[in-house]
Amino acid sequence: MKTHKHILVAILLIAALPMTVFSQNEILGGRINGNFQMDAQYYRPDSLIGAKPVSEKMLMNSWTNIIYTSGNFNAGMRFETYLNPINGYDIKYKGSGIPYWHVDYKTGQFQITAGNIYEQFGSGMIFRTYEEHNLGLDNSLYGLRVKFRPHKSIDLKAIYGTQRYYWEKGPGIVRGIDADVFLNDLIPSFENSPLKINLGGSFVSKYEDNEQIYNKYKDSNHPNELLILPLNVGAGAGRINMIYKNFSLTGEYVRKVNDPNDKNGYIYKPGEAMLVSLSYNQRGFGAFIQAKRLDNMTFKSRRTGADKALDINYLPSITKQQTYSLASLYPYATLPNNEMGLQAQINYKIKRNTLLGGKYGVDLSLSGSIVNGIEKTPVPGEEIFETTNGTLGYTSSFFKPGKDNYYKDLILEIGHRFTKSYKLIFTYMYQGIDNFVVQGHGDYMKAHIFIADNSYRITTKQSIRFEAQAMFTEQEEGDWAYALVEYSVAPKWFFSVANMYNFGNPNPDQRLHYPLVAMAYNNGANRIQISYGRQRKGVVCVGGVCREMPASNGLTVSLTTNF
Amino acid sequence: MKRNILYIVAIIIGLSYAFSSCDVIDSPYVEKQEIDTSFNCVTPEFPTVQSPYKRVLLEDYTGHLCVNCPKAALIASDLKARYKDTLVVVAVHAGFFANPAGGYDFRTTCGTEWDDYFKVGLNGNPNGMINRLKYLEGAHVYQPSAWNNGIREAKNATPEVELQIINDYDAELDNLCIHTKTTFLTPISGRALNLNVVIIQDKIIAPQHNNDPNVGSTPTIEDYEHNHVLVGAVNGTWGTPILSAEETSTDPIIKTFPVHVKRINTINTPVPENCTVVAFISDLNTREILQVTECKVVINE
Repeated sequence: MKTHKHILVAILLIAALPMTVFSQNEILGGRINGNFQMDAQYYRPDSLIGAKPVSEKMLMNSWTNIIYTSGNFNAGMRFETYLNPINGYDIKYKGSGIPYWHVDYKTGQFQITAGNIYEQFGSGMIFRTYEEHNLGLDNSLYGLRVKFRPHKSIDLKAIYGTQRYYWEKGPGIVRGIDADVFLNDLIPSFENSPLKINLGGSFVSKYEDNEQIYNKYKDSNHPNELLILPLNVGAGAGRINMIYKNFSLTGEYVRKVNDPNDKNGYIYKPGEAMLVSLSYNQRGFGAFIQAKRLDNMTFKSRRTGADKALDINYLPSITKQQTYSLASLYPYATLPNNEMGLQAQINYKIKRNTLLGGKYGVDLSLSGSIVNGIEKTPVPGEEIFETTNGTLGYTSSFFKPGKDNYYKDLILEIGHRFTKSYKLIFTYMYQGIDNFVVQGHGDYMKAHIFIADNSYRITTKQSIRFEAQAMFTEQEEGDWAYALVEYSVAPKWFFSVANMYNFGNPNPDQRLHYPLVAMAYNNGANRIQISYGRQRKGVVCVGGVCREMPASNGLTVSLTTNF
Repeated sequence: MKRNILYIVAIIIGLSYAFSSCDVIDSPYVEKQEIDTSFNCVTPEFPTVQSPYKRVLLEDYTGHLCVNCPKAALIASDLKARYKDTLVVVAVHAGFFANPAGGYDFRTTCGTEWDDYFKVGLNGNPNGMINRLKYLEGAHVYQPSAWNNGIREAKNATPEVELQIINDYDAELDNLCIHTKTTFLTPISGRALNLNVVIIQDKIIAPQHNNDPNVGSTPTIEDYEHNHVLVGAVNGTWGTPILSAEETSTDPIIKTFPVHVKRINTINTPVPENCTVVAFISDLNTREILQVTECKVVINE
């Protein structure tokens, strides 16, 4: 941790000096840009909502990116500091240092990157390294990447390295290659065809040293059985992307060999993942359907890893990401080892100047998703009492979903501009979610959510937005209401007042208000935001990956700048 | 065109070769280790028991998803404080409310087999057994409100057997030598008796569902302290024979059980400092527990 290369500090200093000398972000014919963000929270204990006292009173996360670009060369680094990490972020982030740097150059058909690498193969189901600050996730690969373009239709990539684990590196070595071929450019007679086809394939392998992992029996009847571990675990993927006129079809299938790990209970069944999407778009109308199956697809560069770090792959969510407060109160998190789902959406715009569309038209959107587990059959002769550790685990029919429903929703959204100044977006959402399976606690919850999002433009610079939301459910914490008023004076000022009220909590003592006031000031590329209030304990998700948020009460200050 | 096809063939061959270079393990997926012979268990001298008395085992069948169980655990804890070494408490996480969730699983093979056999969970959680009394009569499941009366009644019975434990723990090697001594206080014949040795653990911090604000936060106590948790059986679910139906009890019987504490449960690795060995003698026919005792793994002088 924090044993940073002196050369990197030198790069930082060299990079920073010219910025003070020259008013332009230029150095040696190249250009420097970057950004800075600081989030600081001052905490007050609040026993009613379960916000615990914080010894430091204030916690802070911050980072700065600096990137230098000159022609075909670029280099970058990121300084991060967590003193101490804001509640909800893993305490292992505590400290300061430079966990990220890279140099990259292109020459001819090659592009070489050294240092920390963010890369994705296909949809990411076989390999994706990325950074998502909101989730406290960074699984960047510390090593090398080579890109090679032997032909205008062919892109080849190879990666090799270890992954970031907070301030350290994970124990596994990750290697991978990826090929992407655009057939229309490769086959001359196919060049002008209306059918466009992309084919791709990937292989990713991890290596971990052997270690002693005892078979997980729950008493000493079998005390001395060691798992025979695969040291090299590989996964292969094939994908296709076809476009024909208004239609688009994408699909990817991934298969992983035996990978006994903490998350799958040390079973030896191969893993499988499939994601297929079909969409149709024309002016005023769009339709989309997606199917997904995940079976034993946890893929980490530490087999004993139980936390969110060191994921080699990313398994996208098949449910629509929600932004409204009550619609995102109980989000769905992807279950990497056991999931089969469908999602569909239709968008339609009723034309303007029609009976139903009025002067400005009406935007309609109907979407729904359903996620079940997969069907599992124990392997005969391998049913060890309540645990299948050290066995094949189970077999599963590829096209057969399990009986248990984990999530479903149906969302109707109607947007209409009534006047030049006033617009309303109305949303109804039905949600069913098995919180016990998804979050590890709670019950199967069914909720009806109503949202009215009103925007009113007062002048060309001033606008006001009012959100009214209500959620009705008999499970979990019962019914909720939410109201928000936002007042903006473009382009600099922003003020908001919001309150979330758990009016239907079955426990009358827990029928609490969660008020929050906020203001923000923008000046060019700089923004400062200050908010004060209560925040409910919950879960924040981005793309199906989630982080638990503890309850908090206090002041939050965020500062962001870009240069 | 020929060159383009060569590109594709090269890519396919490259991917195929890469995919074949993994370690595919065929069943069996485990290898047995040689029995650890590093134990050097030396049978100790047991102190003479001056006035033996009957001790009682309270098995609290519970689960971290059971909202009423924290209150029952509090009752068990109060009873333990009241009856001190006359009472041994074992929290058995088994059944529906002990299903794994939130990344932890307190169930054990023996706990679940006991629950299946005595059908305590079928009566709901929390519920318990007191010396597994009245099993044959079918009235062996005690609700928490009946625990105190049941214990008071059971401890007044005349002891037929005395049981002692001496633990010798080598922290460096994680070697625990459990020595038990069974002394027959009255001649016993025509009854098959088994000796069970299990390990329980205190101070496991993990979430517990709860619906009683007087006990803790609802609906979940995030940092709940689980105590007396059964973590594993040293000599199987039903123990080791100590007396057969054809024998008549005579001399005291000393048995030694070598065990690695941290390996007794590889899902929730026990912390030896928080662990206690519990031993009990039961009648194989009636299932009644004749005597029970406990001894900490690490005894702080």
